[in-house]
Amino acid sequence: MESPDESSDSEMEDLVAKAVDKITCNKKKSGSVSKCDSSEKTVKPANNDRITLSSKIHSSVNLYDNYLKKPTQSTVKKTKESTIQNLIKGSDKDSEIMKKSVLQPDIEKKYALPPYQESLQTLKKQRKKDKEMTKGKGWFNMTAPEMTEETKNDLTVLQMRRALDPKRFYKSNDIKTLPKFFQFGKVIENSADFYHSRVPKKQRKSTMVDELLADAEFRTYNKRKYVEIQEAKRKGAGPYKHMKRLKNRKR
Amino acid sequence: MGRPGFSPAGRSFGGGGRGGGGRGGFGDRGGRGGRGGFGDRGGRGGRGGFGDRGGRGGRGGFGGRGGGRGFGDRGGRGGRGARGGRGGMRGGRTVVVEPHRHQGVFIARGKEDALVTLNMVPGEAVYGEKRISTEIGETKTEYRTWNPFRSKLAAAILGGVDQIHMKPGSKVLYLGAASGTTVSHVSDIVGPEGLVYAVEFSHRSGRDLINVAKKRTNIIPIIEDARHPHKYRMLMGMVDVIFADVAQPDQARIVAINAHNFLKDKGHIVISIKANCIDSTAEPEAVFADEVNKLKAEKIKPTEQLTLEPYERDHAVVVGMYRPPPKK
Repeated sequence: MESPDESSDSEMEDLVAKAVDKITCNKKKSGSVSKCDSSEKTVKPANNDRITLSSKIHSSVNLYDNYLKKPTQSTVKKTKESTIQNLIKGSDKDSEIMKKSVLQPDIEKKYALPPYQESLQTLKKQRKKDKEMTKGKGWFNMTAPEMTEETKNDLTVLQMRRALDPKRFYKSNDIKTLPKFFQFGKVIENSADFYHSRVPKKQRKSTMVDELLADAEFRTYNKRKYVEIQEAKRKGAGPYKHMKRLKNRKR
Repeated sequence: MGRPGFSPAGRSFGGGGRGGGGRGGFGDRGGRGGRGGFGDRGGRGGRGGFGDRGGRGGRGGFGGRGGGRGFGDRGGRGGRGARGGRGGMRGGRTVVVEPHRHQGVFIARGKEDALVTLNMVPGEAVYGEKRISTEIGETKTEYRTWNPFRSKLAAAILGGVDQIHMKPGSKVLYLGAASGTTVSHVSDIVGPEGLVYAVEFSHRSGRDLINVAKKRTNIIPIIEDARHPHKYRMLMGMVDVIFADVAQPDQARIVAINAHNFLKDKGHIVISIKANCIDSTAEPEAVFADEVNKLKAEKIKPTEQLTLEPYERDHAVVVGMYRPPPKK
């Protein structure tokens, strides 16, 4: 640890050394320039190494992001006195954050660390947040997974499944939105289902959309239906007659 | 995402039906006679098969039970029925598992829907049912499909029963456990913190029941006659629910003496009544009403009755409360 007095002393020394160097350089202008440079090089590290570590082993570990801050040229200039306070990383700019911290300079004097307390309100808020993340004990804490593009597509397909197969009837959905709690799963067949109720391994797909796209029959049907609807829309036939009339109506 | 066709959420007991006297509680049943409480169902022209297959008859999914069963004989369950075609539940298909309205129960949605429960013993099917494995991060969970044609409880759930009174952590006395197929699903519902006392008299099916209980620690198999609860009272504790599927003429009495012995006050009973087993000559509606009256005499207040119509013929499920609190 350095006391402020010491640091100022050392600074003074540095300055004196620099001044002496300059004088000698000017004197020996006719002499070798290289020597002058080398002397400056020897001075510089002395200026930088404000923290003298107990060992000088270079472990090739980047200490930049460490708890103790290695003072740079600019910080040294700004703060004249470099106490341990300044050396603690972020103490100068993040003092606001550190105000509530347990790690105060007089921490070693304390008998025990102060207990970690949170207000009841924040605790309750946190608890509520946690609770909303799962469906609850009744459903074995089913979690709400992240909604990615793929899952969204799959859930939408499931929502609009009545359009997939013309020969299959589904009752209407009773919620309009996508579900919050769900899990994607794969059906595991029984060994008895090997011959009649199984998708061969090569034809298995990872998502529902892929499964549909792999289904040739579905695709031909879907394509035909799409063309039919487009044609009807263009002609204004069937249900589109009324729509067309509405569209053309002058307001 | 919508609830599926069979979903009870859309047509729960509280909503709509009761107000209009459609489905009705027990109070208005007298006027409508027997099963009349379910009038609104008739108007819909049948409810179609399981998994929204509406009247397509045996395509994929669950086939019928096949053949008439013997009187009270639950041994030969008729296999898995006709299957084939391109079902939505073929091995390898992707499905979405969502929570059901009832606690501990889930729905698997795909091209077809299925009722599923969380498998307590991952990697094992109890009676050859399909399983669904899900993976989130590193945690793998597994669900087992629950066939309403094989289980009356599943049929009741799909029929839209308001409450099954079983949830994770509850203790259930299951009378008439048979081979333990439905018991395994009940054990899934109550989870590791719950308990299922499974009583079965027949040694033949009791053997299967014990095999199921070997792998599921929350099942306590009891191979005894449910008419004599004193024979197994040392194995039992107080229970929250009694589920009875005994198909005996004195079913109401069996349930009542077990309730008097083991059921807590304000506990619940769920009974499946097969009209044929009690009186094969009388009208089913009359039989059900008679049974309900017997229950009333034993301090069991019936709260709900529904038929298992698309899944079982002339069956009803009655839900009641034991020693209800006095009216205010």
